[in-house]
Amino acid sequence: MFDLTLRQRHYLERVTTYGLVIGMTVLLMIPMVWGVLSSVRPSQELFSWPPQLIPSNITLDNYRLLLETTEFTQYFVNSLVVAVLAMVFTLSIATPAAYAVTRYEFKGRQYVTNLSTIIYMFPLVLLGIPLFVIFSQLGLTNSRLGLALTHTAFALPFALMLLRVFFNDISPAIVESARLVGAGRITIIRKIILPLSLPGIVATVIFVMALSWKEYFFALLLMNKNALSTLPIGIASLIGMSTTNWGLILGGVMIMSLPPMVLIFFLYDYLLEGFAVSTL
Amino acid sequence: MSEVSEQTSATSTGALAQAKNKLDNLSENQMGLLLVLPLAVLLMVLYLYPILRGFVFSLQEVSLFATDPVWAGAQQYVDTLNSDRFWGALENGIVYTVGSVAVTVVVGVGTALVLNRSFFGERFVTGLVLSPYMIPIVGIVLVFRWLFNGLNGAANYVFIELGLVNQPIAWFSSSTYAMPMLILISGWALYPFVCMLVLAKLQTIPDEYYEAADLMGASRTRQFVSITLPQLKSVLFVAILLRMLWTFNLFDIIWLGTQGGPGNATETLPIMAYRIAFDGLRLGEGTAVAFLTFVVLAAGTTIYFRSFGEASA
Repeated sequence: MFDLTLRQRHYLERVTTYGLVIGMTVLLMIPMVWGVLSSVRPSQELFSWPPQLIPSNITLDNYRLLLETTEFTQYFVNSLVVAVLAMVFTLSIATPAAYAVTRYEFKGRQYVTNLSTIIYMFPLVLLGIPLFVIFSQLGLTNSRLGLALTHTAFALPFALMLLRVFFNDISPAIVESARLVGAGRITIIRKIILPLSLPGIVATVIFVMALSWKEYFFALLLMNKNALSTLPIGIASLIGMSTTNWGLILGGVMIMSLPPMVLIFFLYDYLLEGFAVSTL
Repeated sequence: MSEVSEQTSATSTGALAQAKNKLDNLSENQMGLLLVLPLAVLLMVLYLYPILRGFVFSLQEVSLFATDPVWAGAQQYVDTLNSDRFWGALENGIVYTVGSVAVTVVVGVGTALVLNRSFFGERFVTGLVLSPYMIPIVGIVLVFRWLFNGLNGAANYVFIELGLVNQPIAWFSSSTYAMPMLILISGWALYPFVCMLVLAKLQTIPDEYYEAADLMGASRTRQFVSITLPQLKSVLFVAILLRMLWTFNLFDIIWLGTQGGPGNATETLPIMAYRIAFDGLRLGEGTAVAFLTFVVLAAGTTIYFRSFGEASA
């Protein structure tokens, strides 16, 4: 080992790096790749033994069946509606709060910055049982609005964390010079803060929608009408049907999972930046 | 945001101009509180009020359909604490939490260290490795249930070929394998979070540290132990704490994987609370279990801070 030249050492390191990268990626991607392959093969091949890695021919039958015989489109629409509502609520509450935390010194500021740690101390069930009772008294069970409200509560700490990063990035010098030429608080927010933090706000919008999209517990608790189910509940309910058609279920799983998976490519820079400054 | 934007939408009227003036005359403290107000209201309505209401439930015998709750005092807490089921669920929860967090941290730190090297296609691979973070838990659990299905799952085939097992195993309905299965799924579902935290931290360690170490002839291992690990310590403290809180409270992976079964083999405290409240229709008792879960968590967090808090600060 010690006699290696510098060049050999360099080569060895390259080889190790690529070996590690490829090994890691392949190992971690097995479940999803197997899922995708199973959703596009003919159903009779699903139960062949030994299982075949490559499908004999690629078919979208499972996807067609999913759209034709189940209420998949309805679940999809429900998920989308809830996600948009939750996003609007979350952003309109978290944006001013995040701005306040980055710009102003006020009493109780540290509670807002430590919000996530405090909130995650409470088990979801502890919140869920009384919320279920309160929401049924208010007629908010079996309501997409009610579900969106619980998703808002859930997404707020994440939104606060991300938004704080972007507001922090705006140099106080710009704000100060605007104030010196006589700009009021609203003008500063409207003309400087919002345009400059727009990419961050877009990232937060996507992230909050993805959080709502994947949420399971409150959707299970609050929605017990099939027509109002969101995707996670709807797809899980396909399992209970008399003969479990795995090809069809995996098709649903892929339509639900692949779009958010693709979004991570655009989001992870923002998330890393968020994690670098926050403890969430 | 709402009051602010409402005011900006119609700037011409005099009353609004006056309001704007007023806003500019507020002190920092007042301005901050005003902007945080909507958040505070929402937290009170969706967290504080339900939890207080839940505490009252836990002192009553409330059923899902009965109209008149019967006052029970601390009886439900006493009964729960005296039941074997509670202690079994607590033990399951600890096994599940420690197991999942260990897998998550090992995989998360490992992947972050690999991703921190420079290689071709770095951005693509990083996205791919972090992508499970965005997949709905339902999707993850279903994919694993298919991969490990007891009849002809691909995992069974591979394990038999490798000689690890003799015959196909029903992973999710065996009381021996159900818990390791859930830990595996949780590890896969949750490692990207740790990976992101660690990666974010790694990228802030200045290159000069490593260059200086190189000049002094420190080996790679030595550099990792003396530079990387100390830098990661505080972020790992946070990651482990938050993961433990999350995992101990986790509901969806266990519910979708085994519903706490077979029997009570994988029943943790949140699952027990849910089963009692909604399957057993005893809301009061379920809430009492949920409160005890919270107490366990709070105690665990305090102990964790006491024993590791100073070392990592």
